[in-house]
Amino acid sequence: MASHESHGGSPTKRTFLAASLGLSGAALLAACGKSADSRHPALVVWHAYRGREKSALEEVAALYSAQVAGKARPVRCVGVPNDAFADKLSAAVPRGKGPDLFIFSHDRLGGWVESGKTVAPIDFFLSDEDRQGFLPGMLDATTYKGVTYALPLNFKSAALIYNKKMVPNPPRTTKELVEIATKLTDKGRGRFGFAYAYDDYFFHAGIGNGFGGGAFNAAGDLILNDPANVAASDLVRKWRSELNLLPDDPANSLVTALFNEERAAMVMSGPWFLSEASKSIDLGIAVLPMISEADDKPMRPWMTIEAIYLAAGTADEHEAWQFAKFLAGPQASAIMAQKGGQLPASQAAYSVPAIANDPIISAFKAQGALAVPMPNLPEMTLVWSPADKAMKRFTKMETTSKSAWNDCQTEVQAAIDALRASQAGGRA
Amino acid sequence: MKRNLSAVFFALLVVISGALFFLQQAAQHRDQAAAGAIALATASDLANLGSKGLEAGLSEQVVGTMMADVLKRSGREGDRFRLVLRNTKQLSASNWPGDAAPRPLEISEKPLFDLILGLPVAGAKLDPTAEGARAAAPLVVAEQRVGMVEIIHTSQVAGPPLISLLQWGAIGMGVLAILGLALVQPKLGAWAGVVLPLGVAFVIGQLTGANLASTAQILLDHLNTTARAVDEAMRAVAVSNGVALTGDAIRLDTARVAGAVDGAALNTSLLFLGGLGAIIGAFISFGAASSTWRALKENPTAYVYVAPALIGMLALAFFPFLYGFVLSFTDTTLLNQGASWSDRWVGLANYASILGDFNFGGAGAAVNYQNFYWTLGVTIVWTVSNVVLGVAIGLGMALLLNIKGLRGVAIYRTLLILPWAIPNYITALTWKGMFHPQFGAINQAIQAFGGQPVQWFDAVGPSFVTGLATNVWLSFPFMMVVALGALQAVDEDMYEAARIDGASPWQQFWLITLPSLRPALLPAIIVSVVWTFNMFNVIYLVSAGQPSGANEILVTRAYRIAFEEYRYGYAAAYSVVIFLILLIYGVFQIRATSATEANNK
Repeated sequence: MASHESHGGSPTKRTFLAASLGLSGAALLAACGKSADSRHPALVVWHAYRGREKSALEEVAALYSAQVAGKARPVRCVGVPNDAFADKLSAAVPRGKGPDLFIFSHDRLGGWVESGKTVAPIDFFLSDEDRQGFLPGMLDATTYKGVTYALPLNFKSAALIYNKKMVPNPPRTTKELVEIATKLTDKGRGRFGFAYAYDDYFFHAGIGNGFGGGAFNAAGDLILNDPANVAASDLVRKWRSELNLLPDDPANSLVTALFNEERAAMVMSGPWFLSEASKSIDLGIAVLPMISEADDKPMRPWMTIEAIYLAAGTADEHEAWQFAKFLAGPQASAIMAQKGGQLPASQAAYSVPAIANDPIISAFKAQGALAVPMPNLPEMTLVWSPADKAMKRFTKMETTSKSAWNDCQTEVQAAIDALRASQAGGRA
Repeated sequence: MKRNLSAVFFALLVVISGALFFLQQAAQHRDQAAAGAIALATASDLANLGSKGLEAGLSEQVVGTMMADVLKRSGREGDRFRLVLRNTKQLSASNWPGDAAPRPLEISEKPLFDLILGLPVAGAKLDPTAEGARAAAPLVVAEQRVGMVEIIHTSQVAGPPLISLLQWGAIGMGVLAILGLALVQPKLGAWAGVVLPLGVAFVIGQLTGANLASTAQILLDHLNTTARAVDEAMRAVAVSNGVALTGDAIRLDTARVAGAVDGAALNTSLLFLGGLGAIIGAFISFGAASSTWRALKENPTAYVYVAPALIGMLALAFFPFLYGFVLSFTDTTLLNQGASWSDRWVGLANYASILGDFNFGGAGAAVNYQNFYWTLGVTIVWTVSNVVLGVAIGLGMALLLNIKGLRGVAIYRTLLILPWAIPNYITALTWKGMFHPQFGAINQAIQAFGGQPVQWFDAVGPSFVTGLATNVWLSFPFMMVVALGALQAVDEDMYEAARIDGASPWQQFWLITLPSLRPALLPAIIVSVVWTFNMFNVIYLVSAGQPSGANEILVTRAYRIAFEEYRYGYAAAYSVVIFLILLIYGVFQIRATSATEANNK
């Protein structure tokens, strides 16, 4: 409140200074902004899909366009390269150059809401019945500070992927996991029972969350050096350095190669792994083992939820909403699942027998029920790099887990404070 | 004389029109802020009343009537209010002409609904509409947001002008006086174009400051009177409807209104304006303008031909550069990039924080690898070692390839250029794989010869070597090609003469080959230094700065600040520092080079 009042867009010394410095630039930008026509002849959807996901989306779009022909604008899907997608959205949408809708994972939501003019809230359109249509917890991921911004489409989370020939029965607890892995591991010859990118915080989070840790608590405070996180890290350290069960420097590409050469019997990875896995391996998917060291609590990997957002400033929010609802609805979800290979977030999609009886989808759905959505706080983006660094430091025995996480906590907290300070400086 | 007059004229034109614009903006802003403050005070009063009314079990209709009553009792019937409830998605009450409440919200009124959850608890000013200043506040019952009330304050608030007519007159007189003086004293004439704009800007700034100080209180008193009237009306309405209110009356404090116009800020911008005017004045009165004009007139075709390139450079190179430069004086981050420049401006704070970072860690704690000077040191060592090795290997290869009668030169040359031809992303990722502690080719080779495998990325030194090896592999072909071209241009007669004089091959290399290569190699080394200094791909992809960011170079660090920490302003300042370092290097290098070349001639 105070910041809104005292800085309510007041022209302080800096405006005039900046105005005189950047007058030409501002004029240029303004000229560009005005020339944009806000209403496209079609409802434009940006996405980063390729291959079969792309053709499934296009099929859904064509289906919808045929249904509403004459009543509403048809849908046009525009593919954007994945690595440039987030920055393109952040740059284009606030300046009115963006699409009407876009498909993106939920983890950037907080940043977009805080920076403003990027995503439109949809509570106005969303009925209670709509809310019931999703798997439990899915809408929480697309809700930030009590406001819902997007409809969940599908989810991805890591699970245990194993070679059925080498591991007939997947482990149900970490104790069993260690037993099986010890038997299969011969590190000198490059053979491992269990491999995953353990120094990557994304994959480690399943264990950290399982212990009751995580990156932020419910109040949004950073808890990287929480005792639960330290305990989870000590477990990984034990696996790697005491029991020598895990490979050194485990990049994802190495994990894939080990699995495909049958040098790793079990890996922790997500649905994306299936397209990389060798077709000759008979693989199975199971829920990650319960953690014996934490009273058999389940591992709770992070889940990313892809959702359809209404871009702020779209010419016709209601029309955009209609397509969003269609895309997240039962019919489209079933197409996206069956033809696009996605794990639908829609409850109704699982009443289609082909989806309900698919062993892979069922296994990931069971894992998804235990997974937690990755925090959608803008601060989360600041955690990754320092957390990965901390993971490398303690897995390589450079320091203890505790001091690595303490340093990491200090570093990330400082970065968060710097980011927050800029915001406290006042937004109009 | 004519030139001096036109200098003064144009300089003052810029200053006065700029000042008029700024003053008009500032006055408008002050008035809007004042009207907005009233609207906000009213909205939060009405929201408070509405929340308590709903909590007491009154119906929405009654609450709506109470709100209309408050406006009427405080003599503000002209103001418009709308009450929107969340559960029913209804416009529950409204005093807009011709608007029949209650009714369901229309789709076009979604923004009103979105405000229920989007507003801060205490309400907020919104963008003003054509009717007047706008504000809204949420209705909160049992800590749940149940709705919101929006107010449009239709009566205009106008404070006194920032510069009175009388003061403008005085400024005009002053200008004429100095101009007269300049005409009498022709020696001073040229300086009038510089002094007048600066002086006028300064005087306007001072007058504005004084006026602001003397009128802020008048405006504030007016606002408080209005706010108090609303407050009293609200209490009266609450009592007559049996609603208990808590909390004190809202008082507008000086900060809310006076803060709307920052006198010091206005002053700074006016001085900037004066500076701009002085530059224009000097440009004209000291003859630069006329000579530019003459040049344009003499070679119009030349400038027409150059124009497209000039415009392209402006749009593609100078504008982004300038934008980045301006950005470096702000604390722009992911979270506040939508805010106005003014709110983000921090002056030199970013530079102070980068260059003033003397926290090196050590003494018990780990070394602080994030420190700017550590990164700078790594970057310099990285650049020097790369260029030295790249030049040495490139030159060696060129000498070998230049051996007379060597068979299969074309094949060797092609093979040696290959590293250069392959995209460096691919090379970098391949090398990263080769350095894997267990499965990498290099450690397997070391083991094959009976050595111990090296944990390449675990310590500062070996990790540095991984980047160095990759980059030398990438960079020597360029040096080789440059050296080879130059070698083939060396006159064979000189070697023959040297041999006749009994020079050893070593002497021939030092005294003939190297000096002949210098003109070709020096520019190649200069660009190579700049490339290596900013060799993002290799560092980012191979060692990624491991361990703990110790092997980051400046440009990868700037990238991480911008795209992992989302501190765009800070990263821009970092980039400007990199630019300045390279600029200084470039200037010195060119000086040194031209000096040696002069000696050679």
